[in-house]
Amino acid sequence: MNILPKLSIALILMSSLLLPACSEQGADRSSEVDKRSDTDKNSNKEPATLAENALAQAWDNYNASEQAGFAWVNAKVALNTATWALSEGDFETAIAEANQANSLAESSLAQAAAAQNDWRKHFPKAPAKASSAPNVPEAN
Amino acid sequence: MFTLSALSNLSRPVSIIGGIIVFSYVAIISAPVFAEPTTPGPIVASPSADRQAIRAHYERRFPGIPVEAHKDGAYAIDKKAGEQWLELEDFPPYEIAVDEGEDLFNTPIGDGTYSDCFGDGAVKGQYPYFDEDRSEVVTLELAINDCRSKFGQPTLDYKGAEIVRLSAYIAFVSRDQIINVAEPSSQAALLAYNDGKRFYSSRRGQLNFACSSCHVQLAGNRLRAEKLSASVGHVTHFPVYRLKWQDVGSLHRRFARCNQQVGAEPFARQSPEYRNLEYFLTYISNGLPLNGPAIRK
Repeated sequence: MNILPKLSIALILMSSLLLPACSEQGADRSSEVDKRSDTDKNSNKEPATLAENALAQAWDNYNASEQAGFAWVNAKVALNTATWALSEGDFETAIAEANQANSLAESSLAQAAAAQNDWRKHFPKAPAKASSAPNVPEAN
Repeated sequence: MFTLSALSNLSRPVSIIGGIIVFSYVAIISAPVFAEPTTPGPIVASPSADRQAIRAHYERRFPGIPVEAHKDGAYAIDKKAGEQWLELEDFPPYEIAVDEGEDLFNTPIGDGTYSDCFGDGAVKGQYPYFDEDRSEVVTLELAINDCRSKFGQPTLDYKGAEIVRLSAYIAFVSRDQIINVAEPSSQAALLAYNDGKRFYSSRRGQLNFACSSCHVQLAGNRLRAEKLSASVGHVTHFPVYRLKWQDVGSLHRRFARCNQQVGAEPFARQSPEYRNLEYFLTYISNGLPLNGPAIRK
């Protein structure tokens, strides 16, 4: 008669502990599988194609960050280096620099997303009396 | 000691309560996975409240230094550097630029002259302003090029020396005018103002700094050997002769350099972003006298 609460509590406890761990492991495993399949696919491609693809992806993210007004100088520097390396036939450098540029551009996009709301924290708060100000439109 | 065997002896209501507690625990730890990112509600203030807030901030941060003293930038808070600066002012290196600007100002442009647009040139106090018809912020440099266009002349390059010299002369003859930018009242003007305020407060670049990081939160601290100035007063003394540049440069050139220093790609001079930033900075400096051109390191 007392077996039901015992079992249910044990089950809930175990599931609460195991679920997050399983989900993380599952996510790790699936990302590993994704990476492996990407590597398999990439190994069949020409280095020039890989470099061009990496550079195109980096440019896409850089252009998006520039559009958002948050482009980073070093992302552009890495893009220029990658473009130069590609034109010189140094595909290894081109891929490395393009990946670096892509990583920086992704970070700048994350910064742009964070700035959407965080910017308000970086301006001194209005005095209490003035907080009942009329609605002021904000730029998008 | 609390063990599972002890749990089996619990009565049904207690086990139900226990189940609820465990379920809550599961819900809490899994919540971040499913939750939407929270967005704080709009925290907007009127421009006059912003101005009060930033002035109050500097009054608290620099007790004993009147807000108006920030017209001299970092020299208001760095006494020794201020003394050196005053000595430099005995033979100011921007004088040549002012003289060249005067010559340019008096040179006819097509069928007209700059005087037809700016009278005697003492007009810097009128800029920037929000032009309701054009629905954009008009700065002095923009107005100079508008004047040229009016007389059929090609516009000047905003990176070029000519426009900086002209604005140096206009700044010189406008000294001691009090900044009095009209409070943005229309929706379009408020949008431009808030765009400038947002730019000022947004972290950017690989170093993840906003303008306000240095000039509000860290104002008065040292960045290497230099003290960080307050934003109130930033616009009073431009264009400036910067020792680093060995030349007179515009406010937007300084904006661009600041952006680059934190690793952000700069915007073009006289871009809407920088004009809105200038509009915002000038509004919060209302009440301060113009004292440009000046010398800066």
